[in-house]
Amino acid sequence: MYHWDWSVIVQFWPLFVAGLIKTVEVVTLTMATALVTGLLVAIARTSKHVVLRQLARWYIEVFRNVPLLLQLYIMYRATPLDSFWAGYVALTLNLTAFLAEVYRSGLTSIGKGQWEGAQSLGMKEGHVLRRIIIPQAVRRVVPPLGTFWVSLFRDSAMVAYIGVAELTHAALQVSIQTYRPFEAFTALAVAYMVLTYPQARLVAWLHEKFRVEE
Amino acid sequence: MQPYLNVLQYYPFLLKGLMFTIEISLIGMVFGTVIGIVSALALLSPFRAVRWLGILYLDVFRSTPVLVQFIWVYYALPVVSGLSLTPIVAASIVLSLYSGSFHTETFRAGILSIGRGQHEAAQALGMRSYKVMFRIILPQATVRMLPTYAGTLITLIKDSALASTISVPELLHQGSTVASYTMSPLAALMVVGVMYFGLTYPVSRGVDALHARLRV
Repeated sequence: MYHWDWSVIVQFWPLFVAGLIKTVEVVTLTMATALVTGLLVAIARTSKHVVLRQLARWYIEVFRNVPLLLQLYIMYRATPLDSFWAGYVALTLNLTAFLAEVYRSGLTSIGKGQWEGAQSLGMKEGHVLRRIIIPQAVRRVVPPLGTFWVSLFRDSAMVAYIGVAELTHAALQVSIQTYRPFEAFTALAVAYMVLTYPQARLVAWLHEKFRVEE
Repeated sequence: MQPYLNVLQYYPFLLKGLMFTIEISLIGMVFGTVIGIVSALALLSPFRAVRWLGILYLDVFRSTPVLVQFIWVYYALPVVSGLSLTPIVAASIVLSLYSGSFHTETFRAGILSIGRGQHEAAQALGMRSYKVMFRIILPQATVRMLPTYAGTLITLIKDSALASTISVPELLHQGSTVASYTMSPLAALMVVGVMYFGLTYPVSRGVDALHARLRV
């Protein structure tokens, strides 16, 4: 019979807390950057210039279809970046590709008729964008952005394997130092559940609130 | 060019990894689909306890990172259960349960999208409820679920790379080893990237085609 010893979790509590702070740091920095870069790639993807459009298209295809862990390894092992910056850059490049598609489908889902209708009322282009297009696009873009925030929070665990001292890394350290893998990894799983579940509920609520009736 | 040629000398090694990637992805696909159907039906069950079990499964697997699931099943589960799992078995279990949790939502939404009228009409004709489900509802729901289902398969193939962390000799694991042998990490990992892309890109084109075809 196995004897639990949860005291190791208490003993290494500061390590877990430091790991969590690092996780939040990586995730917020990545999201903040990708919100902007994703929009830029989406604009390129819908641009009139063929070269720009194709570049954006292949960027999106490649980064969405290759495992994130591989992208992290390339950034860490084949560039001079240290583990934190390699993790941040790789996560950002990856998320940018996904967010670009979110923005693009948000923008293209607003029918041409909306533009034409507003312009025929004599509204200027900038005015149409600000008053007609963007408010409608926000309803379609915000809920999926929330979904990607939650998956980023979970996926950020992978940066542990390039040596970023975040939450998962902390649990791996505790497991090695105490020979208590069960306690360390169960605590880790529970920590992620407790942290992710409320976020996921919030996103579900956003989806409900911004539901678009077609 | 030279680093790439060095890497390509290890092609049998990489191909072996590719076979393992395909193998664990296929296992995950088959068992994940079965698990997805069972738990989708559990969520729609009239029994509260059964529904709760379904919700518990879904929440656990969707609110923890896949990586943590791999680590937990491989390193923590044997400690309490006493049975030690080989890396491939552990990876297969995780990929099945994990992709099953995605399929659950897909299947449930698909089943719910078929109007009540279909249900009632079939019952009015005297069909038993399991027959209504398997002969009337599921065949219609399948068509609607196909794009999302196939999308999950791409996620499954990509996340099978995480099996490398529990030393399954799949593609990424083999690629990392070749990267160390040849001391050209960029070349080795790029070759691996191209191989993954060759696997996932056709599926993702298929998903796009399905979306376009099924748009109503």
